[in-house]
Amino acid sequence: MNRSPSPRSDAHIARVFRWSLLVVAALAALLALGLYLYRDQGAPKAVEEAVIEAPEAARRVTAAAMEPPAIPYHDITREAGIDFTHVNGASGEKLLPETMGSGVAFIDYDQDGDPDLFFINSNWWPGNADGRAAHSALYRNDGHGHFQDVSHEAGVDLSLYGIGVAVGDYDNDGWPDLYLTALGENHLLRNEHGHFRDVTRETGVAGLKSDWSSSATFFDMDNDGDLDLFVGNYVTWSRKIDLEIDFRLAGLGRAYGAPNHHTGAISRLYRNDGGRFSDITQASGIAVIDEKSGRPVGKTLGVVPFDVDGDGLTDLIVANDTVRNFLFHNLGNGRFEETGTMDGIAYASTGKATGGMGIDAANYLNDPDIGVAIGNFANEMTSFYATLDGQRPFVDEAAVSGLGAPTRLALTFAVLFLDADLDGWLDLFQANGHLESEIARVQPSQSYAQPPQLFWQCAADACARRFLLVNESGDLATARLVGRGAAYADIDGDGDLDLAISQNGRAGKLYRNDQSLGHHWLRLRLRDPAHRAVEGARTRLRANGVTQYRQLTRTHGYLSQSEAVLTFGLGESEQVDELYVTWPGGAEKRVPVEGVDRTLVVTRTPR
Amino acid sequence: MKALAVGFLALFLASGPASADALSQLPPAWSQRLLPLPAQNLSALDAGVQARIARVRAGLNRLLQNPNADPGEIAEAWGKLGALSQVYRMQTAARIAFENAHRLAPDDFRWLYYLAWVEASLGDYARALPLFEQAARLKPDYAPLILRRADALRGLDRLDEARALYLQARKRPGLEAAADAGLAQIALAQRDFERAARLFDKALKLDPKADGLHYPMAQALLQLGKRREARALLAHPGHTPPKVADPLIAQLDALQQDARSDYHQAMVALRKQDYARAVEYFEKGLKKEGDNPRAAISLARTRYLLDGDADHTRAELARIVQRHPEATLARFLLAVLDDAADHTRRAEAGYREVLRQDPDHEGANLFLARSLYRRRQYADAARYFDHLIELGSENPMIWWFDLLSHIGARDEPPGKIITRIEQATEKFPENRMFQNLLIDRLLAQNTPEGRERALKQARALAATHPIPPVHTLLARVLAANGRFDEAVAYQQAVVDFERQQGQDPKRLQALEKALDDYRNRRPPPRPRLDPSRFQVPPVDRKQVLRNYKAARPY
Repeated sequence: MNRSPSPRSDAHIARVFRWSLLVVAALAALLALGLYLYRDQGAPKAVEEAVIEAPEAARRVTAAAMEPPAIPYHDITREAGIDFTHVNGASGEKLLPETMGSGVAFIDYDQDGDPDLFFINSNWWPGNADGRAAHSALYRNDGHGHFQDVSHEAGVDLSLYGIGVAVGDYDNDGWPDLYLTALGENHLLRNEHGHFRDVTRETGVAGLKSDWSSSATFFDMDNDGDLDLFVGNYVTWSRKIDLEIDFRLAGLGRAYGAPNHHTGAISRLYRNDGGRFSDITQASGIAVIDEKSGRPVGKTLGVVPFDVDGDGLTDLIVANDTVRNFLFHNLGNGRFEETGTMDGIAYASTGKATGGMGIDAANYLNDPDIGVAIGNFANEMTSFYATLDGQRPFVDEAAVSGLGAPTRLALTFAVLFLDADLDGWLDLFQANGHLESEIARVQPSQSYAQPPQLFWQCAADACARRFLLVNESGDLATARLVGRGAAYADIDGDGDLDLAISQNGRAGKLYRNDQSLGHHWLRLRLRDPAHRAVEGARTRLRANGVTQYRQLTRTHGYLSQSEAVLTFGLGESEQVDELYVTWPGGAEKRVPVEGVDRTLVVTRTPR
Repeated sequence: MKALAVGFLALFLASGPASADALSQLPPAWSQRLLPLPAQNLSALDAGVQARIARVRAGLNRLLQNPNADPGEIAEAWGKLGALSQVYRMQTAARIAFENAHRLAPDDFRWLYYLAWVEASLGDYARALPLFEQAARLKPDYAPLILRRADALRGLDRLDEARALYLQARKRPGLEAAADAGLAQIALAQRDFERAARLFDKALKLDPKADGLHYPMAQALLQLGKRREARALLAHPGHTPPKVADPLIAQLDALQQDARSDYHQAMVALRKQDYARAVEYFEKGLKKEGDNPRAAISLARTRYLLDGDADHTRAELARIVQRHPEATLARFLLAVLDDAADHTRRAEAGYREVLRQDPDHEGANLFLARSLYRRRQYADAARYFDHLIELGSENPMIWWFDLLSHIGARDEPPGKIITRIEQATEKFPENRMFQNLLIDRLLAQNTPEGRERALKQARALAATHPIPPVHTLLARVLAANGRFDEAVAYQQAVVDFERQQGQDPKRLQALEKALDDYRNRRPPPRPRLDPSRFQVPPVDRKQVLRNYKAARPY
C-alpha cells in the first residue's frame, strides 16, 4: 500500500526548505564549494585525446545475395538443462507489473571463459504466494552449451519482484558483478570468486522502496576506469493506485492499464566513487521534469549506452513508454543534456510518442552512421532512427529499411543488433509478445504469444540499407513466445551467436545458432591488466574492404545483458586486414591479427 | 482494503457468464452463411452505450430468429453493430459483424469499406489493402479510397506505389492536406528533406489545425539546418492529423456519443493546457451522463484553472460533497481552498473529515501535518507525518519535517530521536541535512558518548565531502570534544578560503569568532534547534488544483 506523496506538494516543501536553509546560512558556503574544491585539487588533468582516422565508406558486394540465407536457430532449452520459469504473480487482478516480464543475462560469472546464463525472476504477490517464493536462476555453462543450475551455491537464488539485470565489474576486481532491478529496492550482488554477496547497502544503489526500476546499465561515464550505473525507472505505481484506476477495455473488462494513467518516474544515475556510489541524478541532468506539471517525464523501459557523437564520452539513449524518448548527451563534466527532440529520436514520424520498450544501437552500415532500434507497442512499427553521414539528427527510417511493415503488428520488447549469419553486416532480432492474454477477443490481428523475428541485413548494393525477414530461422520461425528480454552469446564456442529469451510468466528459452554458411569470424575479448573498465571501448576491423565498427557494452535490448565479447562476422574473408581498438580515454592500439575463426584477447597497455 | 474489494467485485462482475443468443449461437438457417459473434464484456463502457449496443444486438437477435426476415435488413443490423463495435474499439466484434453484413449484402460498398477500415485501424495493412481495392471496384468514384489505399501502401513500405496514389488524392477536394502530408512523410523517410519540408508546409497551410505535422516537419527542417524554424514548430506539438473528407468515416465517428469520449477529449485538452476546451468537453460529457462526481470534480478544477475564481470553485466542490459525501477528493480540495485562504481551522476540520473517511488519504495527511506544523502543533503534526512514513513515503522532506516535529514536540527521549535520524540517514545517504542533524543532536545530548559519536560522524562526513561547511561542522565537533588544535586547523582553512572569496563579511566574521574561540580553547555552545526556523510553505491552491493526481479523473 505504498504510495508516494504528491510530487507537487513535495516540490513545495522542498522549495521552502531550501529557503529555510538560506535562513540558516548554508547557501553561501555551498556557493563557494566549487571554488574550494578547485583550490584543493588544482586544475583538471587534460584528457588524452583519441586519434580518430577518417572513416572509409563501407564497400558493399554487388553480387551478394539479395535473399536472406537459412539461419536456423534451434530450441535447446531442455537439452541444455535450462528449466527456468518466470513468475509474474498474475492471478486476475491485472496489476501492471505483471506485464513487464524480466531480463536475462549472459555472464561469465566463474571466469572460465564461457558465458553462463542468468534469469532474473519476478514473484507471486504478497497474499497470493501461499508460502511459495519464486527465485532467480544462474546456470553454469560447461563450455559446450550444457548448463547446470548453480543458483543456490552461487548465492543468486534471491526472491524479489525482479525486473532487469545489469552486469559489470563495479569494483575492478576482475569478476563481473550483478545488479538486479526490481519493483521495490534494487540489489547489487558482488561476485566474490564465483559466489555473490549482496552489497546493496554498503554501495548505496538500492533506490527507493517505491521505485519501479526497469533496464539498467553499467557504463564509464567519465572514463575514469570504474563503472558508473544508470538505472531506468518506469512509473510511480502502487497496487492501490492500480486498483483505483480500475482500467477496463471494451470487450474484455478489467485489463492491464496503459502507462499514461500513471505518473512518470525519474531514472537514477550513480557515480562510482571507488566502489561506493553517489547518486548524482539531479546534478547530472538525468532528471527530466515536465515544466508545466512539475512531474517526471520519463517512463523508462530501455537504455543503451552509446557514444553518438564520437567524442569518446558515452551517451545514453533511453526508450520510454508512451512519452518521448531521451538522448542524454554526455557533456563530459558529470553532466548530461537531454537532446532527444532536437536529435530526432523523441517521437515517431507521426509526432506521437510510441510505446518504447527495448532499445539497441550500432554502426549498422559499417560506416559511421548509427542506427537506433526501439521495440514498440502493437500497431506501432519498430522505430529505426538512423543518422546521415554520421551526423545527427536521426531520421526514422523504419519504412525504407524494410522494418516498418513486418514489425507493425508485433508488440516488441527486446531488439538486438547481431551478425547472425557472420557475413559482416549486423542483423536485427526482436522478441515479441502481448500484454493481454485474451487480446484476440477484441483485436483480431493480435495474439498473446507472438513469433520472434530475425531480420537479415542485405549486403548487396541493390538492397542496401534494407532488412529482410528471415523465414528459415529454424525453431524461431515456428515459436510463439510471450517474449520480453533477450540476450546473445556464443555458448558453444563455434563463433556464431546464440540467443536466450525470457518470457513473461512462461519458461525462459535458449536457442542455438546452427547456421552452416561457412562464414569466418573473429571474436574480441578486451582486457585491462588492472581490471579497469573497458566498456565504451571502440573498435574498427577491416576485412575484404569492409570496415566494421563496434562499441563495447553488455547492455542491449530490454532488461537484459549480452556477453562482453565482440563478434565480427567475416563472410568469405579468411583474413583481417586491420584491427584497431580505441580504449576509454582515447588511447588507440593497432592489433595484429593472425588467423580467423578464433577469439582474440586484446589487453590494454598499462599506463 | 476498500480499493481491493472494489477491484475484486469489478473483476467478478466483469467475468460473469454471458447469455447465449442467436448471434453467438446462430440458428441453423444462418450457421453455414454467417460467423457467430459471442457476447462482449461491455463493463468498460458508459451505461448508455451498453444499452445502445444491447438494443442493436437484441434487434439483430430477433431478426436472426425470424425465418421471414429480409437479408438486407439483417445486413443493415450487422453493419450497425459492427459500426458501434468499431467505434468502441472492439475490433474483433466489428470485423465479424461487418464480414457478416458483407456476406449478406456483397454489393453494399459500406460493409467492405468498413471491414477494410477495421483492419487499417489495427495497422493490419496487409489485410486492409485488398479490401480497400475490392471496395474501390464496387465504388470507384469514392474519392477517400485513393487516400486509404495510399496510406495502406505506405504502411506496407510500398512507397513508390503510395506516392502515385497520394499524387492522385491531392487533386481531390477534402483530401489535399492529408495527401500532401503522406507525400511529405515519404520524402522524409527517403531523406529528401527539402521536399518534405515544402510538402509539410503546404499541408499545414491547407489545414493549420493539423499540429501532428509539427514534429515531422521540424525534423525535416533540422536536417536542413533550420533550427530556429524547427524550434518554433516544436514549441507547439500536437497529435491532430490533417482532416480527410470521408463521409462514411464521419458517420462512424458520429456514433461516438458517450460521455467518456468527451471526458477523454477533455483530458487531451487539459494536457495541452487548453482549459476552455477542457471545460467544454467536461460539460458536454456531464450533460450526457447527468451525474458523475469524478468528472464534476475535474470540471471544477479545470474551471478554476480557466478563470481563477476560487469562490465559484468552492461552491461547485461543496455541491459535489453535498450530493456525494463519499467524494473525498472534492472534500480534500475544499479544505485546500480553505487552507489557501487562511481559514486554517476550517481547513483542518476538512482534512480531518477526509481522514475519517480514508485514513490513508495521502493529501489530507500531508496538508494537515503541514498546517499543524505551521501552527507549531508539533506533536499533532508528527502524528500525521509519521503516518505518511508508515504509508511508505520516501520523500526526504516528509522525513525531515517529521524529525523536526518530534524535536519540537519533545515527545520522545533524545535516544529515540537519534534512532529516527539514523534511519533517515541510512535511507537518504545523499541528503547531508540528515547527517548534519544527527551530529547536531548528538552534540545536544551533551554527553561524552554523544560527543564522541558526533565526532565519528563528522569525520566520516568530511572524508566523503571535504567542503567548507562540513569542515566548519567538523571543527565545531572537534572543539566540543576538546580537540582544539585540530579544530583550529580545520577552521583556519575555512577562514582562509572565505577571506580569499571575500563575498560575505558577516559570515567571515562568524567564522573568525569561532576560530578565536577554538584558539582560546573555548568549546562551542550546546546546540539548540528551533523547528520554527524551518518553514513549510503556504498552500498554493492553483498548483494543488492543477496537479493533485486523481486516480480516476472521470
